[in-house]
Parts: sequence; structure tokens; C-alpha cells
Amino acid sequence: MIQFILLFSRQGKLRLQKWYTAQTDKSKKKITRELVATILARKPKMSSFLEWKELKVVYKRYASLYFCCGIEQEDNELLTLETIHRYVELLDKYFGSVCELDIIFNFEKAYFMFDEFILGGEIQETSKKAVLKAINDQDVIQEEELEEKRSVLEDLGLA
Amino acid sequence: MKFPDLSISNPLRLRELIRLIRSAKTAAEERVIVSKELAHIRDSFRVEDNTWRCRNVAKLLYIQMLGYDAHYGRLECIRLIASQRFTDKRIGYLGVMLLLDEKQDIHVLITNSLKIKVPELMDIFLPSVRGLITEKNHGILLTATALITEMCYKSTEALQHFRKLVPNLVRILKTLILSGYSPEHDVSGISDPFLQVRLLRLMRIIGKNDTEASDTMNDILAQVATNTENSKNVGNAILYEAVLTIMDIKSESGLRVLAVNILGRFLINNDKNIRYVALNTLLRVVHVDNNAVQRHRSTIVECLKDADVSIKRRAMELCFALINANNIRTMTNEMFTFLSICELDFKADCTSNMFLAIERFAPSKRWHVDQIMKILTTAGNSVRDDIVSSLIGIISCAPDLHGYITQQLYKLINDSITQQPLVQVASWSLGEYGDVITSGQLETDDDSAHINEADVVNVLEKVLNWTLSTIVTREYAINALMKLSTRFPSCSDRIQTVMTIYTCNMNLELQTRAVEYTSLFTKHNSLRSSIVERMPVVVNNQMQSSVNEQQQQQQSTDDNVQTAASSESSTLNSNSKPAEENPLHILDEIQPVVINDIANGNMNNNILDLFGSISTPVAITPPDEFLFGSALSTTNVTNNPTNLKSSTIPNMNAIDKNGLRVVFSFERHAINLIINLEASNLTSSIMKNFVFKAAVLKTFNLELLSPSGTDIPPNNSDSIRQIIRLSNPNKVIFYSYYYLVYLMSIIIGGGTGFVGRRLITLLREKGFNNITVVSRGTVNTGTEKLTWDDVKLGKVPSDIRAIVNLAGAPLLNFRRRWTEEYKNEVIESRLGTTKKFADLIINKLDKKPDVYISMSGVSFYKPDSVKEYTETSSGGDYDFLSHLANDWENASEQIEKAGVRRIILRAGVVLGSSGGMIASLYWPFFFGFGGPISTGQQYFPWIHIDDLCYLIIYAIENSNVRGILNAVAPDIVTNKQFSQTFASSFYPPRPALLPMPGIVMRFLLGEDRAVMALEGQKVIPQRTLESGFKFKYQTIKEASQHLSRLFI
Repeated sequence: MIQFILLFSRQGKLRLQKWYTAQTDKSKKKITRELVATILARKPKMSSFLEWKELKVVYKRYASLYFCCGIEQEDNELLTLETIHRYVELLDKYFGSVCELDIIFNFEKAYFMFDEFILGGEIQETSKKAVLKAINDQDVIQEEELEEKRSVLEDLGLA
Repeated sequence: MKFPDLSISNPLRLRELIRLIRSAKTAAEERVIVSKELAHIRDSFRVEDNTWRCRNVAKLLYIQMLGYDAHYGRLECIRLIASQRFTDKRIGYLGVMLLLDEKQDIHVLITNSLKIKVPELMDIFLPSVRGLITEKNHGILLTATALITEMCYKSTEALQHFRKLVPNLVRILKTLILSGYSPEHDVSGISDPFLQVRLLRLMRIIGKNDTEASDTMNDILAQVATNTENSKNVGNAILYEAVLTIMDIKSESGLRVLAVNILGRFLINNDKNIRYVALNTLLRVVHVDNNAVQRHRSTIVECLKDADVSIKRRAMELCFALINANNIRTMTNEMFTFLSICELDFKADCTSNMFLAIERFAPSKRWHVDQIMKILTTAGNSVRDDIVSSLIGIISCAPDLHGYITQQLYKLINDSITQQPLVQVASWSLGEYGDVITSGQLETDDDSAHINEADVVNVLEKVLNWTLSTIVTREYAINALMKLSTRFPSCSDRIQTVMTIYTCNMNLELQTRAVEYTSLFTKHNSLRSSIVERMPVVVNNQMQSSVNEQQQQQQSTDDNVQTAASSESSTLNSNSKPAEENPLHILDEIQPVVINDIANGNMNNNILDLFGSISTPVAITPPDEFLFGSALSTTNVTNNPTNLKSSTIPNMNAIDKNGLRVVFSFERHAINLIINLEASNLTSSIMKNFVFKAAVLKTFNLELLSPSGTDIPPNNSDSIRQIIRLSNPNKVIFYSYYYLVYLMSIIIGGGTGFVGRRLITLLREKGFNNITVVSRGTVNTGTEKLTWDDVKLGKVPSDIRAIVNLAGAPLLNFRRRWTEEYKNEVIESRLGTTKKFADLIINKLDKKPDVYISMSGVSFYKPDSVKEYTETSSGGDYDFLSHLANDWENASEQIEKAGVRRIILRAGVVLGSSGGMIASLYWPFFFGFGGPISTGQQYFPWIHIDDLCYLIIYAIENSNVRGILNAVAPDIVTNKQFSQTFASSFYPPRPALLPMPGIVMRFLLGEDRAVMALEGQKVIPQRTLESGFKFKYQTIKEASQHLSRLFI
């Protein structure tokens, strides 16, 4: 089971964080700080895995962004790399050639993506199509609402 | 429709906020923006503005990610969820997920109620999950598999149940592999790796320890293992999972070989991640199938050179797992190569493992020792300490190699003394076997010149004097030199000079040794050769014995030396020798020594103190008799032969202590001397079981006739008489000691603490040897020990004279925060123990003790800069500490009502070098950083620990003392005066310039306790002085001078 996922930049700025086990804010901050420091210090020729406390940590760098996953001992590290890759693919499809800025400004969308793809630390849907469809459907509802609101405001002569 | 309050300007959009924050150039700037925005959001929440709530929560979520506190958004999230709009709901759920987790209060209730029902729920799920397995949808299949896996982990029943599903699982996996391309789920040509891995993992759990299930899986596993395409990471992920499953279940041996081969292929993969995984997995399976892994040894050894440290570490571990008797030589060489190039943090592990492997598989002893010496020269300083001692053990066990080893070691340290562990072993060997290599019996394998004695001593001296040698190394060296002083008579003088120099060394251990050794050269030269004899060969199993051996050796050497060296002082400790064994035997060897009154004298001499503390555990006393001893002055019963004819010898007060008076009167008959003993009791209570014993030199004959009784009645009303007949056929002068046997026992609650330990020492010196300590600590005090439960149950010695309750958790413990829990501990440790004693005295003891002494504190009085407090002043109602003191005192009131003399000592700050305040102040002051606390104008009620202990003893001995006594010194000082006096009592005097601000003390100690340091009471020990007690350390100057002299 995935315990947490962290996205952070090369400068060590946290971009997304998703915790699948309960942690106090203090320990969240501590874990984040320690892992960001350790991972940023690692050299490119080193492997993507580190043993950290009782967890295995798998990380991968995409352009300026690091994706980092804390998994349990029984979990498959190599597959976790695939999980990360799948998530990046999903973001890429959704935003159309995703970049760090997309994730900064649309962080809520990136979170929605997590929620469709991973549930309680386990992958819930392996079909890319299904995940993207779910997100798009929700976006459509939101759009419709916005339209509605705009028309109400127009009716009132406020827009 | 509700319009937004116009007084609040339209809030920033989320995007704008993010942009604004990103444009901040410094962290401070960012903080300003964020706190401004947080304030806006909070305002907006407060007016219950619905329009912007969604946006505000989104912003909060962003701000929270930046590391700011945004918990107050939680409730707003819940409001959002309740909203009609989808956008609101969506953000609301996101917010709930990010801001809440099951640890939060709101959530706890929900999840707790769920948890209780989980096992029951599992049964409900069992059948329905089976249906899910037949589904086509990958999402459902995947999650169903995950659920089954979890259930199998949680309950064995579920596991049994799902065993039936194995064929289904196999079928799903098969379809997955064989099915054609499905772009939706494929990852680089492999159909749904996520599902495959999940299935394999579930099979692993189900197939474990189950032959039938394993058999069903064999085929499909073989298929996965052979058919999966391994050029990409994703294929390897599946292979990896398959290997794990194959190795875990009861699979066929052919399949296992296949699995290990897959890992072997992984090892030569270009992808470092895959190499890492392979090594990790091999490490897991190496114990299952060593031979299969053994085949990949060379590849594994190659991995030692990998650039990635984690791969290196795995490879190293794996290499050690692979070492066996056949490959030990080659592998050791490989490891040496690795050891010389690896990073520093590998070395300690690597050397320890090499050491173990070599020890296990070494083909010969000589090879063994050679390799270890090689380790020491290559990795030297990173070697763990235990290796040194085990190597010494090994050397000791190989008598035929002593010469060779010592010679090699000599050569090595002659070249370089930088590798400390090597130097330690070498020093030890040279000390033990130095004479073997200088004797010239050894054939030298090269042309190196003959080693002479001076060379060896030179090297050792170099080690000893080299400033970078560690203390341990130098201790080895100094011991080695001492040993060589007899092996090399030619260098003896030189070694003596070295020892003399080191008697002034700053290091306590070295100094102690040097002083002892010097006295071996001078006073006890005759003993020297036997003391520094070679250590006996250790015959035990190497592995276990070697670890402790060095210590034992060191210990036994030390003991020898100490016994001899302390014989001068052993008169001080003569109570440690049983009376039956002729305590005067030491006088055979040394000149009679007149002993000072030790109780006052020996603290001036710390060296003697050291000896004292070492020999105390030896105290052997007959089970129910306790020697009343060392404090007695030598009574010089001069029987000068020339005087024999002269008339009478005047009567002599042999003992007059603690209310016991023993008077000798003498009669002379030719060579016989009759001593009439008369013992009387001046105290108010009866003395029971009085026994007089004596021992003399062998040239005398001693006869003790039976006494007139064993109980001495109180108030000098009657006395015991006993006749001692002494004959002196050889007519020599003799000196004699007397011991008293005394049965009354003293119980000390909390006797392992700072005051307790000192009190025990002083009580012993005063002759009270029947001491029982009640403590929860495990410190060895050399006395009888009880736990508080024993007291509660009344399991205490029958004849208690006094109970001293010193128990109480220390207040000035900087390491403990002043929490409620700690406060309770402080209270309980005082009041609780007092209650236990009260219960013991009132309800459980047939014979009540004479006296109960309890501690309290001057914190009873309210701190005041003017007011003077005596014992009769009121108090106890001011703050936490004064209430504590008051309650504490009241708790023992019942004891007094039960007719026991009760004494309460309101103590000031106890100054003593081994604990309490001085222990924490010593070093700051030593280095000149000490200073007063806060303004330093506050009073500093203090007492020297010895005075406190003597006061307790005084209170035990004198029946007229009762009630409350202020245990503070008569010299009233302020904190500043104390600081300055203490600092100036160092040599050279230290300044006391740096005041410790009050706020720091408050922070360190918490408000309640800080009072102790920041405020003070002017307390006068009126009743204490009136009782006739004499303070030994009357002024702060005397006390400081004693305390600052920890050593030197």
C-alpha cells in the first residue's frame, strides 16, 4: 500500500502531497523535509529506491519535478515506478504536455487525478481512459454550473 | 439572492494569489502575503459569506501546502460539502481529504465505530468477493484482488476460504497474458502490469506453506517467468514479483533455479534500479537456496564496484552471506579490495562482518590472525571496539604464535601508530609477550634487525605520549609498560620514570594507574613481579569469551595492583576483611600506621577515596554480625617487654562512640595479660546482641571468655563484662584493632540517590553497617536492598533502629520538562513513600524504630529578601513547592503520634560533587563560564552534602534531637556570593561573570521549579545549632574549596 505521495521541485518546494495514512501535521512536515533533503542530495547514477525507516521510498524525476512515493515492505518498487509513470501520463493527457506550472496553478485538478487513480493507497483503476473520463465528466458538470451562474448574473444585469 | 457584503472587497482569485506568492522574492515577503491573505479568508469565513467560500477554501489548501497552518478551514470544508453546487462539493471533498484524517477529532468517532465492526464485515464480504473475481472490468478485478489480499493478511479463515479461488486466479492471469493488445490497460506491450502484480502477490500469500495451491500455480508462474518481456522496467516489475512468489511458495526446484537465474540476469541489467532489486531479493533468498545464488557470485562481487551506495551495501551484505569454507580465501581478498576503496560508513560494518566470516571459516590460526591484522592496518580506526578484545582473546589462545604475532604487531606499530585499534592490540601483546621477541629465539623472516628491549619500550612510550592517541590506547600502553618493567629489567628504571611523570596526568584513569604502579615500584616492589605476571591463556570458546576477555584481564590486573597498592590504605578499609582472618596480617609487611580519624580525614585525600570505593564490594561479614569498624582508632596497647615488670597499666577507654563505651582494664600475670572489658550503654535505648571479637598476630595467643550478657541496658545502668586473656610468649610489641558487632539496622528510603549514596558511605564510616536500602533504582550500594513493595508488605528487617526517608524524584532535573505527569511523580515519590513507611511503622512493626527522619525543603518558607526564617516560622502555603513541603511534612505526623521520634530536615540546596546542583555547575565553572543566576541577589540557602548526612547521623544518635530542623549551613549567602566563591575556589580562580538570565531558568525548569533557582529564602538553622550539631563546612568558602576539587 502506498503510504504517501509527495511532489516537489528541484528547489525543494512541495507541490503536492497526498497522505494515505494518518499523520500529524508535525510528522508530515518532518517526513517531507527529511525526504526532500535526502532525495535532492542523491546523485543521478544512484538507484530510485531508498530504505527509509520501515518504508521503502521510490522516487523518480520528471523534468524539474520529483515524484516520491512511500511504500511498504511487501510492495513492488519497480511497479511503483510504473504507478508514478502512469500518473504522469494521466496528467500529460489531461493538461496536454504537462509542466510544473500546470500543477502549481491547477493543483486541485492534480489532486482530483490522484483520487480517481489511487484510492486509499491502492490503485483503483488501471484504465487511463476510465480515469480521464471520470475527471472530464466532473469538469463538465462544473462548467455547466458556471454557465448557469453566469446566466443568472446576466439576468440580474450584473455581468 | 444574498449579495456579498460590500465592505469586504472581492477576494483575490486563486490564480492571482498563487502568482502573487510566487512573485515573492524572499521567504519573509511570502509570509507577509500569506498572513494578509489568511486574515482576509478568516474575515470572510466569519461573515459566513457563501459566494467566495469555495475559492477561499481552495486558497487555504494551497497555503497549507506551503507549510502554513490552515486547520481552521476544516469546518468550512464540511459546509462546502453541504452546498448544492457541484464545484463547492468537489473542492469541499478535496479539502476534507487534505485537512482531515482519521487522527483528527471529528474523524475519530466515525472511524472508531467502523473499526469495531470490521471483523464482522469481513464475513459479509467473503461470498460477495468471490463474485467480483469473475468480473471483466480491470478496475473491479484489481480492487477485489487488493481486498482479498488484505483479508488474507487479517484472518486465517479468510485465507482458507480463498484457497479455493486459486484456479480462478490462475485463469485470470492466464487470460491476461494471452489476451491481445488492449491499449487502455497496456504498458509498453504488457497487458495490465498492475493487475498482474496484484494477482502474483495474492498467489504468494495463498500459496505459502500450501503444497496443493502451490502445485496449481507452478505452470502459470513458469509461464510468467519465461514469457514476460524483460527489456523494459515494467516487464521486470512483473518478473520480480513472480520471483518473489516462486521463492515464497512451495514451488518446484526447477522453477526456483529459474527464479534465481532471472535475478542473475537482473544483476547485469543496465538499469540500476533493477540491479538493486535483484540484490535485495537475492539477499532474501540466499538462505533458501544458497547454491543457486552461489553461481552468481562473480556478478555479485562486481556489484561491489557499483556507483550507487545502496547497491554497494546490498552487494556487500550478499557477499558476506555467500562466504563459506571453500571460498573464504578468494572472498576475503575481494573484500579487502572493497575495504580499501569503500566509503567510510561502510568500513565498520564491513570489518565486523569480515571478522565474523574469518573467524568462522579460517583454515588456520595463523591465517586468521594475519587477516585480522590486515583488517586492522587497512581499516584501522573504523574497527569496532569489540574486535580489539576478541583479537586479544585469539592471540591469547594461540601460545605457539605469540612470538610471531607480537613481532608482526611490533613492526606494524613501529611504522605507524595512527590506527588506534591496531596500536591497542599491539600494546597488549608487547606487554604480555614483549620478552619473547627480544629474546632472539625467533627466526626473522626478513633481514630486520634484532629487536632489543629499549626499542619496544620506545614504541610504547611513543604511543603513550602521542597526543593523538585515544585515552583507551594510552591505558593499554601504560599497562603494557608496567608489565614490561619486570620482563625487561634493564628498562625498569626508565619505566618507573614514565610512571612518575604520569602520576600528575590530567586524565583520571591514567593518573590512577600511574599512582598505583608507582607505589608498586616503591612500597611494594616485592609484589611487583607477581602482579604483572603474564595473563593465563583463556581456554573458553573464543567467540564468547573473547568479547569480555580483555576487560577481565584488565580487571584482574587492576585488582592485583590495587590490592597491593592499597595495602597502605587498607587499614582504612580493614573492615572489609573478616575478623576471623586475622585483620592484622597486613602489619606483617608494612610498618604500623597510625590512622587518623577517618571520618574527618579521608575526604582530604581523593586517591584514598578511590581505593575505598573499590574495595567496598569485598566486604565479607558474617551473616548476622556487622563490623563496627574502620572508624576506630588504633589503640596502642603498648606491651613493651621492658615494661612487663613494671606495675600496672592504666585503664583505657577503648571505644566511646555512639553512646557505647568500652573500657579496658589490665592485669598482668607473667607473660599473660588479662584484659577486663566493660561495656556500657549511654543511650536511652537498649543495645542488643553485643558481641566482642578480637584477632591478633599469630605470635600471640588470644582467649576470649564468654561475656556476661549480650544486651546492654540503656542509660549506663548496667554493663557487660568480658575477660580477654592474651599471652605474648615472644614478647613483641603489638598493635591491635577492635571491632564492634552491632545488630541494629537502619533503613534508608531512596538510598540510591545522590544524598543516599553519600549517607551510606558515611554511616559505614561511623560504624553503622547494618543498612538496608529501599529503592526502585538498581544502583548497587553494597547493602541489603528492598523494593517499595517489600515495605508495603512489611518484609523488612526485624530490629530497625532508624528509618531515614530520602526518597523523592529530583526536582532540579533539567532533562525533564515540568509537566503534570512529572509533577505527579514528584509528589507521589515523596508523599507515597512517606505513607508506606507510616503504614509500616504503625501497622506492621512489632518493635517501632527509635527514630524516623524525613526530608523536606526550605521551599516551605516563602522567598523573601528581608525576612529571616527559623524552624518556628510559618509557611507551607505559598506555591507548589511550599505546599509540597507542607504536605510532605504532614504525611509523617502519624508516625510521631505512634511514639516514634520524628525529625524533619528542611534542607537547602545540597552541594556535593557527585550529583545535584554542583554536578551540573561544575564544568561551566571549571571552564570559566559559570555565573550567578539572574540578578544573583536572591538568597541561596545551602548545605554541604556531608553536613546533611552527618546531621542525619547526629539525629539518629542523639535521642534529644526531635522535630523540625533547618538543614542549611549557618553561613547565609546570596546566589552571587556563592557563584563568586565557587568560581574563585578553583585553581587558578575562575571568573563568575556570565549571569544566567532568569528567563532561561524559567524555560529550562518551568515556572514552579524556577523559583528554586530564581528566588531564595534567608533561612537560619536555629534549632539545628541549638541541638549541638557542629557543621563541618560552616562557610561557603570551605564548602566550595572542597567541592571544586573533584580531582587534581
